[in-house]
Amino acid sequence: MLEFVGQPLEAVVEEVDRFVNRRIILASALQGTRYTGTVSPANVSDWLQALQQIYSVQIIDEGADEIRIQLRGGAYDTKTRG
Amino acid sequence: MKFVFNCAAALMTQKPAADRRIQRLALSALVLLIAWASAARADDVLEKTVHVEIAPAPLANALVQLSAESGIQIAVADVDVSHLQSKGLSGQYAVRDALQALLKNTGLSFVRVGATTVAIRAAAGGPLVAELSGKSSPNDTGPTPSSPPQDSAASTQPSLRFPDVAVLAPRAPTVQELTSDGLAQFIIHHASTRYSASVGSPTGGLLRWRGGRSETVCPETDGLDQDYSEFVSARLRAVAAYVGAPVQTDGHCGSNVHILFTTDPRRAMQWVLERGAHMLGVKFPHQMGKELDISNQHAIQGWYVTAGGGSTVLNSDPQFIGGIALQALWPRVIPTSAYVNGGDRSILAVFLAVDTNKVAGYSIGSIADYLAVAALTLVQSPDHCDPLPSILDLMAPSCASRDRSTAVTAGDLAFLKALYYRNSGLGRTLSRSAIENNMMQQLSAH
Repeated sequence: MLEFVGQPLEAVVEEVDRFVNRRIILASALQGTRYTGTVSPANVSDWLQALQQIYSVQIIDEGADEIRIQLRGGAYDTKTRG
Repeated sequence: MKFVFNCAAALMTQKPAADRRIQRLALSALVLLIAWASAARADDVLEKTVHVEIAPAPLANALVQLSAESGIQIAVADVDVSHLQSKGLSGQYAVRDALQALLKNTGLSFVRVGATTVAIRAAAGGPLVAELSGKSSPNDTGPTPSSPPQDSAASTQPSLRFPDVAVLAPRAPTVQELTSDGLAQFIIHHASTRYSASVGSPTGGLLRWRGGRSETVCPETDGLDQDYSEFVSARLRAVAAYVGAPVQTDGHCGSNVHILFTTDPRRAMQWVLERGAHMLGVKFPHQMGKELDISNQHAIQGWYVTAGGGSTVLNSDPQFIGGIALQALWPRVIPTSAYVNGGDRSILAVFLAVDTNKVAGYSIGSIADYLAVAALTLVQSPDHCDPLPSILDLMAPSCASRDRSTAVTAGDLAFLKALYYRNSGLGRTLSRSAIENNMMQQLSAH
């Protein structure tokens, strides 16, 4: 279980990204967002759903290669590798 | 389960010649059902008991530690917890209880995401009842007042917030929730009049507030700080207005829906049975006593005072409305006699007693919504978990394996709208099948 207290979401995504096959890409507008909690590498899909409960974000499934985290209702901006 | 238990009990009382083998089968079936129910509950990771040793620390660290000790995945926006401290937690707890203990008095609540993940966020339903009730001794049977924090800026806790009084559109049901039999079951479990599982007769008019001077909803809430009591009443008024139920606009009207938050609901319920029933002129109170279950088992108990119809329906004075009966929210058996179930009957008054100890972990918004639905339809034994979600699932043990609704649902509102459809004050409600069709039209329109 990965543990985070007040970490930038960008750093969390970068850490989680190491454990999944698809790239997780965080919108640049969310770079200042901080996260607290845990992430189970075996259950990243539920963690992504949980993000939609705690932030105003939506998870966009881009198929076999990418998952994007972007502001809800907003157009996707500059891509930032997690 | 209750029906199965009654069947088993009936079998036990048969003569020995009636066949001991049937008794053994009935007992085995009962034991298996109990074992199955227990196993289903134990499979829920939030019900798993864990030993926690969390020292006083920032809440963020405490939550991460609980995650490590319980194995559940916890997610929270740091901005929601970074300013909060935890007093720590030590001992054996179900994971759900440990979470609630850590989040107590924070204005935060958790929602489940999948089997082993929870997201923590600001409580949508407002503060928990425990935060409003203060500390009360076990012998304290009176009101349990408290006040919201006066200076939230100086506190380490966020201010307690009222949820919206206005009724906002809930999420639409899924296709799976609108299964073929789901709506029919939902209706049965939201209105028991003229229905008995043993008789199986889901026909006839349902009970509702008919309107007119004496049969128009006028709520009054006691037992909480005035602001919160008024919120509970206001929420009931808002739901009533939203679904088209008759509701008094005068804030100083004579109350006929009395909601009491108390640590001794049994005493209040008993008073209504012993004294109120006689004062109201309820017929056959000694007979009704056999049918009514007053216990400390349920967090919210209640009485419905119902009135007969016929030529008396236009009387403005309830004393002249005929055929008054008392019916319980949790009856020992659901009465099926024509006297209390005539199709022209209506709701004349409602008394709801809320056990503040048992609802301490629920938000005031959730409890207010539960009370609103219970006050607007004569519902009996609301201990179900139908495919279509309802706020009445809030405390249903049978819902242990799925998330319970924490606010009035689209199904609740659709049912109540159908119940009060074309409520002219005269005549019956739609039939159950017509209500089902009406609900389907509403829910499909989302």
